[in-house]
Amino acid sequence: MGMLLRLALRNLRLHWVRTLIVGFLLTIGTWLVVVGQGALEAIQAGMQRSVVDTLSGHLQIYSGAAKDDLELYQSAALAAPDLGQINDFGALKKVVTAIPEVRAIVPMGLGRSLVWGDSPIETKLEELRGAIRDQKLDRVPAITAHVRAILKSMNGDLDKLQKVASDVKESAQQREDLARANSDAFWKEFEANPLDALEFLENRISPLGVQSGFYFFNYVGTDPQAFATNFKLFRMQAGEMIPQGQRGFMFNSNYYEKFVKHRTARRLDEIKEARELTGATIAGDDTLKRMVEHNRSQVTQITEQLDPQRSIEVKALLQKELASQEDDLGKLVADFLNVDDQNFDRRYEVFYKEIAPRIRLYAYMVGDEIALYGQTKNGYPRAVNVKVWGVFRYEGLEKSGLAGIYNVMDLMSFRDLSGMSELVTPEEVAKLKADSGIKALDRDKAEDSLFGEGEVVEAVDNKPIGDVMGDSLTGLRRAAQAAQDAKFTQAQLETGPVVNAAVFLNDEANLTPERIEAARAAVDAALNSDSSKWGQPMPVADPDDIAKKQAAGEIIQPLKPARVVTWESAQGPLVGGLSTGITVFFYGLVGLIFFVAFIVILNSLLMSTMERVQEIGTIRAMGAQRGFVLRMFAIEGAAMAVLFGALGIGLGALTLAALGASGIKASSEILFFVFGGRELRPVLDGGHLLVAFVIITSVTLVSILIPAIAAARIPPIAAMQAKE
Amino acid sequence: MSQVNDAVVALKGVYKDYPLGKTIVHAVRGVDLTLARGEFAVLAGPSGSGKTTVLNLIGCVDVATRGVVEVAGRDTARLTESARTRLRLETLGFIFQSFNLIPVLDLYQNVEFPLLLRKDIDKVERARRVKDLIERVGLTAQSKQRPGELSGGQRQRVAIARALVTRPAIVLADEPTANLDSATGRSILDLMREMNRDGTTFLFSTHDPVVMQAAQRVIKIADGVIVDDGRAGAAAKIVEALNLGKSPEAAAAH
Repeated sequence: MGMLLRLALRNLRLHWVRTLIVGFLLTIGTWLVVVGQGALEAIQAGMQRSVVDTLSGHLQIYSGAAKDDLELYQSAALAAPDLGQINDFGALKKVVTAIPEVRAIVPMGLGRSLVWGDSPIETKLEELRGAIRDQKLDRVPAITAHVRAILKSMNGDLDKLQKVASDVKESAQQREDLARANSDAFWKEFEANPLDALEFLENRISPLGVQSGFYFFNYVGTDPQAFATNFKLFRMQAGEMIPQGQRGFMFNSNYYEKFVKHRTARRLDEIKEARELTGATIAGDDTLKRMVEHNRSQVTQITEQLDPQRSIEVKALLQKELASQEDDLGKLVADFLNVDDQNFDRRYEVFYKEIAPRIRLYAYMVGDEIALYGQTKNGYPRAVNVKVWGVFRYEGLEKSGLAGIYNVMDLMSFRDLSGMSELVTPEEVAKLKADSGIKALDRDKAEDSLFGEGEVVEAVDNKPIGDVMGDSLTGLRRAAQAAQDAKFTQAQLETGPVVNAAVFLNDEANLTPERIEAARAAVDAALNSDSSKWGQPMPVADPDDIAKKQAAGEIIQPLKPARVVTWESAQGPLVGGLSTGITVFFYGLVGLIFFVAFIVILNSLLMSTMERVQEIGTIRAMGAQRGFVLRMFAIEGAAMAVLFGALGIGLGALTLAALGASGIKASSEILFFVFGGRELRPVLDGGHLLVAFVIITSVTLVSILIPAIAAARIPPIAAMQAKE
Repeated sequence: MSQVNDAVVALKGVYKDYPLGKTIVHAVRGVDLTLARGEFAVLAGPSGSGKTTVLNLIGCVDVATRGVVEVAGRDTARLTESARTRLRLETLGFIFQSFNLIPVLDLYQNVEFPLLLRKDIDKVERARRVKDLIERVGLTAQSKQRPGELSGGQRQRVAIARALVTRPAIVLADEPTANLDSATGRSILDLMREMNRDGTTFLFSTHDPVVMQAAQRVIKIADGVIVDDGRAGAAAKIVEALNLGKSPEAAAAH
């Protein structure tokens, strides 16, 4: 053995070039395995944090009657998945929270609604009402001047609208209303009785405005208190939580900044972020240049929002700031927004200090109301108005678009919007109707009510969407308004239906995938062994569905009342694929490096075997058995593995220690999600070192196998063949 | 004669054919040969005469196509590859034309190497034998040097020490002086002759007349057939005696 080791070491030294090349590959490979595993583990933990602590919880429960699988991070598909519903969340909660592994359960429902951006007239009227309400009477003249300017321009808008509208009677009425609003007499009336005049404007004129685009708002309908308590990364950023028992909406900060913020401000933010995060310059980066160009060319997005008084203020300010005599506000703003690397920081500061407070920085601000439009599974249109209470963020994930995908809404509004609301007793129905002023209607007269009398109409809930589309949305709006004012109790929230529920487990610090799976099985058993405990009916198989599955050769699972899945399965393929992709990429890279190492070792050792034919023949002639030659190569391989493996492991451990101390900063949007925060701190783990060592030893020994066998086959007679 | 009992090598009707492309080369064609213990014999013949083949057959690194090759009383054709290897380790010593030392090992380690393959020799005995042989070949001072640092003659001395360290019954030497100048060759011969006096059988292949002169017995081979197997003449013996008389000085001089 001593001789073999000596032989091996001497050989390694003698063929030092080969040894260095192979050694380099083996060291790099081992280093990568150590560092990569540490990073991968941290990434897996990070992604788990990003999913579990913002949206999924450890487990998700949904109806066994669901036709689709639950995918929390849905791809952009517009069609809502059919997830069925859990009829009684309260009963579910009772059963699930009785399981010892379970810490908490949060009711959920995912949805997406169309939201029309406010028209300029709507926005201004809101501002006017606010000024009157808050007794800021000095602002009123400036706002009314702005309103009158907008009203003048609306004549043209109305012409466009009427080209597509069919109801002649209605459009005549609209023209009449607009003419009235544009008359001086009307504004005399306003001075005398502002609130009545305002109501006329809001009810009759506002709907005529051309809406400024539309948004799709994704939301989780939930119990906001339970949501905020259990999703660990949840933090309030602005405004306040939706109070218990009240309806409302909270924006996710990422979504809010990206989609709701004034475009100009958003672009300035993006330029600032790129300059700070990646050190990009406006001069050297085409994307940033384009953003500056957009801001410069779209000055009307700012000037249109400035009422006459503020226009004067901003003009004076910019003339001073730019040391310019220019009188045209648009040109001044364009000049101001034409930023470069030298003046950017200053202009950014001035923008936020002087201009931002004078415009509407977000399309929806805390305190505003949003009208969300949606439709039920059966195609009935729904609308609810919700108040924006606040903006929340996920700690560390503020910049992640994936974590920013869902806003939060109260569960009651979610139920209304998705048509899940079920009034439990006739008394409750009656009370709610009395509270909100809804009255039952004869279906034949529904149309009159919708378009003419301005009554809130229940029937609209039960009409196909085609019947109430177009400008007849007014009725829906009113129903939505009524719904908004209806408060509810915690018991009402908890006992009603939900789409899904997030389950949080105990002893979170020590949760392994195995323990999560065990808990999943426990919850599954509790819910599905006796569904009468929680009142969920046994789903009835759909014969069409069975036929389809049979045709596709799929296995038909017996239906169960509930489906219980782990967070990994609930996240869906979009995010799951990301995790898989990273893992595959890493192992692919490791595989590639070791494959190259394998080839190089194989090749160089085969060559060296050729060179050593006589030497090996001599050793054999002197009486060494084949096994001795095999061992000779094995020890040479093992010596390389130990030497370079130790080097790679050492370097890897050092790298991990350094990275663990400093952290890897997330430098792109997706990395925030992958890292589960602003930085990744890979962990040094003895197990990883062992795995790295086992891998490098196996790779080396396998690559040495073929040359070793070839060498062992060298016959002793080879010793006799003279070399020279 | 008592040769049969004393025979360490016996070849009976041995043939060896090699395929060479599509033809078959008959390298050895019916060789009968016996070597007694303690002989110092030469296989002489031109290149391609079959002398190396005979040496390979006796050395158990090749197997006869036909006939019997007995080494130390064992029919090598009936042995497994592993048993033949063991036979080589225990009975045979090799000296090669190009020395065949292991370049990465120093002189001492090269000599020690075959003993490390033997489980029956302990460390103390091993060291004793290695040191003794290195001293006898006159290279004690160089024992830490690598083959690359030694002259051709010195390398062949190391090879001789290595061949003898296992105390083999027979040492086979394939053209041991071919790569050496004549003076060095002579001293190497002297050294082997001296070892021979301890009872080790030597068989060389050579076409060097000096080597032939030194031998007790010259077996001439041509075209794979033994053409002459004569004891060396009296004159040769005188030369030998003279050489022997000189050899200690010659060895020391190296």
